[in-house]
Amino acid sequence: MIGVPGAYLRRPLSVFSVSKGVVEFVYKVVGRGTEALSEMKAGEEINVLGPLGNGYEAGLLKNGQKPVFMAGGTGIASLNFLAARIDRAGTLLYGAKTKGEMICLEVFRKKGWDIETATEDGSAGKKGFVTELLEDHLPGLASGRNVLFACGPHAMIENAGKISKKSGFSFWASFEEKMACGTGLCQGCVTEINGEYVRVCKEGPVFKI
Amino acid sequence: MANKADLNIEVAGLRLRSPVLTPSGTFGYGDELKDLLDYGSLGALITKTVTFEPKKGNPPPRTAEAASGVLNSIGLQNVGIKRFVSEKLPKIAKLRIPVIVSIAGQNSGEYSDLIGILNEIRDVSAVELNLSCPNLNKRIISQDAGLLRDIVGKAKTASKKPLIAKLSPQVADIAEMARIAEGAGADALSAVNTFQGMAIDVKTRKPKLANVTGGLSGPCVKPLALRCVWEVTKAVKIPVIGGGGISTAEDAVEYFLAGARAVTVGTAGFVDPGAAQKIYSGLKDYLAERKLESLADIIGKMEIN
Repeated sequence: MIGVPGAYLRRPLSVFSVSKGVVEFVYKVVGRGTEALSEMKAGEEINVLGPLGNGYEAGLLKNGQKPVFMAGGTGIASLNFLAARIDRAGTLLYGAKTKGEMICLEVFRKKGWDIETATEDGSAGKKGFVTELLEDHLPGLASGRNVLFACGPHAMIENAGKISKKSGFSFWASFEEKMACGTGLCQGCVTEINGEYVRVCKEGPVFKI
Repeated sequence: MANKADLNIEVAGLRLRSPVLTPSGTFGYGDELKDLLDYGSLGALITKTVTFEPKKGNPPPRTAEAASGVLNSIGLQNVGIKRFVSEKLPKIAKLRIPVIVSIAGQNSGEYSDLIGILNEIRDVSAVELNLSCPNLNKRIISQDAGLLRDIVGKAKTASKKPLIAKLSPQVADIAEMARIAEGAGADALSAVNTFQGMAIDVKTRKPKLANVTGGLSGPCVKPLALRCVWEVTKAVKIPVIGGGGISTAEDAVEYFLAGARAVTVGTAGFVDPGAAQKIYSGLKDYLAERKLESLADIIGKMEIN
């Protein structure tokens, strides 16, 4: 949770990368808070409360299993961080509104990842949604040879959930949600899982679906 | 300088080591901050409101930011009294601070049933009545003098624990509602609940809360809530727990000067989990710097003229 100048509440952002003395976040300017954040100057201080919540259980990758990442928009942030922490390359399915919004493709490429992209305007890769790229990977996921990790808008994860249910596999999904506290106090950032509202900040943001 | 200012306070027969409480609905089930807050700075914890049956709560989005505040409409999501007693309460009891359980019923019978269950539990120090949710007839207890008298009176008859009635600020005369709750047997009052508000996303034309309206809290309501607390403390003899927008020790001092015997720190904890702790030590400093020995030296001591 990141303190933003002029906004009362913090903003929930996931970590993009951590290196010696540097923590990077990725965000898209969508409102007053992220706009104020984007206007901050180098050297200004930022107040961060975190890390909070539960991450991907990357350790669950067994011998021979390959990761399939599905990123929607800024959802690439948490998956980039995960990629740095696992010992093998896999396939990245990456969707965005337009080509210009895609970042860090080169980082994944250098690490030996296969990359498939989709854009809503057709400016890169397949014209359409990233979930459509999942089709070719269903046999591998259903057989357990591959494991899916997804991060992106609610609609993307919901759609992936429908596909996974039909094909009979479960996956790790990191939810994006507006949050007030980030620590479980307010019960504001809920999402419905198995008929019950659960807190994205506390029980998530990564859930096994 | 050794800071010996005494922040002990008695509220409704409860001896509290700190006058800083966490109000209902802003502190999860209680143990969420155990790594982020020194619970020794809290006098008591008021739980998220518990109902008889489990409640799923309102669909998201449930919160929206306001200028210096937050709108929320959670819809009393909770696991119901049964699971609360068996699963949540044992965890809260481990925090070793007095637990005040907030309850809401659909009618007086349900309030009494909830109290009947809590009466038998040693870890429950007191009961707070959440009177601000619409009941079966769509009337809001805290806004209806007759209902308020009836529900508080019956709850008092049922309760073996100290009983706190939480007041809504959205009434024509909050002093009158306070007198009614006192007359019906409340041992203390909690003032005040949130102020109803709303916000609209102008890009999508949709309300920012799925429930359209919700309760406003945070620094933006402090002057409004403080006025209510002052009106209430003038009107009754029973102790008043005051709160609304308290973010600093100075804010808390204002409530004490207006007559509150204890204060609640809720929304501030969303932004800074350590807020209650800072307010507790800030209060100690405030007293020590003025060579005051206890909170009694500031409670109700606003000077007009």
